[in-house]
Amino acid sequence: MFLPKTLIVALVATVAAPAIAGPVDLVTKVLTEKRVAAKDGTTRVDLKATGHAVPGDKLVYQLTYRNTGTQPVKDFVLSNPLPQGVNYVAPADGSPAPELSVDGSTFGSLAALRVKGPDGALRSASSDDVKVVRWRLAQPLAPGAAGQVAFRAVLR
Amino acid sequence: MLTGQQADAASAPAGTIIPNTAVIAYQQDGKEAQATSNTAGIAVEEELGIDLGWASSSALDVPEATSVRVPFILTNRGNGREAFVLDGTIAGIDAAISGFQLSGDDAGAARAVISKGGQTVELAPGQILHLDALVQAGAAGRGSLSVTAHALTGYGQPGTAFPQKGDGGSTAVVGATTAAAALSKPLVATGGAGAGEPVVALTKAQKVEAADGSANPTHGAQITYTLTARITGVGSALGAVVTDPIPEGTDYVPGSLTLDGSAIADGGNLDASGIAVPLGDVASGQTRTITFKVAIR
Repeated sequence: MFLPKTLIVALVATVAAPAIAGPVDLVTKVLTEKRVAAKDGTTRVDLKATGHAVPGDKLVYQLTYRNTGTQPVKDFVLSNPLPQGVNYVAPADGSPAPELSVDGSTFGSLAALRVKGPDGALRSASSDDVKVVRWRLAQPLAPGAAGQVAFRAVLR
Repeated sequence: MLTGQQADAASAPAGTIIPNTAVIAYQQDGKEAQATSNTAGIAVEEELGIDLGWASSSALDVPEATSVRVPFILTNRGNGREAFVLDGTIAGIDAAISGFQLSGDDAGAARAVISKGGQTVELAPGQILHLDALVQAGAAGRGSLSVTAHALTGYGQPGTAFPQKGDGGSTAVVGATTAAAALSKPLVATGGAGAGEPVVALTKAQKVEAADGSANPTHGAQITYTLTARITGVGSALGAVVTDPIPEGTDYVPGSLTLDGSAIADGGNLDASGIAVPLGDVASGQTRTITFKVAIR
């Protein structure tokens, strides 16, 4: 079943209800990749918070979480529905790989996901089909501890 | 024309801001809680892109001194609303482009002729315009027709930026298509009678010379016939043969055949009923002149 992304946002928001203002702070940041030619002939990829992009530009979404409370918290599930107009590409350098979903409910690796084509037949999912990415963090987060995950995307 | 990543209708629209929000759910003291992130936005700039193609691959044969519509298709390959500047040239032939006009299905209210250097209406991302180049052909000949178009906001090397010129005040950036395109195809204007084919016009003149020096067609007088074959139109007359029967009451004068002023042999140039002179392949614009003589019995 195809779910519009706005609907998925609503689903994700209600799964973990009731929402209690808690001691976890979550910050998202979007950066654009700029390829810079170095003098030695190599190409370096710089990440810049330019705030703007053209179709085809590569983006990196960084998600930083922090336990600002006095007690440890556990069983983290960090979800990021892909914004409309943005396609998932891959985990960012240094980030654990997220679990992926093409429908907002079933998560797994890309190879395990199927989508229904226009003819009704199931086909293997591609990264363009991803609607939600999520990370489940096994370790409890001690007071004051923080972490970061990130994924690469492309502006359609 | 399809090079690299191109924006189109499925692209993020120029001038919009794409927000991202993440959610974190967790357990604390056996209770579920969640936190929502801030919203990080990215502003979508306008990518300038174009695709231009002929609507038909067929050759362009136009009767001389007539006008014709040459259909082509322009697509906005950018992610913003964009108008396109149209221009065109004709080389090697007496013809002119009088302008451009929306064709067929796209006509509607906006049928005004767009002059050369003029611009189309604004196209939505991915929108396709069916257009006609209005071509007026003069004299017959061969040349070529070129049509060019570019995004009104700007064009050039991919990556060229036009600050604040994009939709919603965004920066407009030239995409992989360079936001400019050109098309060209051969244009042939043909003589009225045979569009696209060679035309052979044959004229015949005669001159009588009697033995007494008069032009009286009496016994023994010789008639010189002059046949002029003029080839016009397009291409060559292939394997043309000029035939003319020997008139009743006359006899062919042996050895009297000439082609373009030079004597040619009777053998191979006569048949049972008269002359039959093969000309081979004769290109348009050339003339062949044959003469022969008969004697009145």
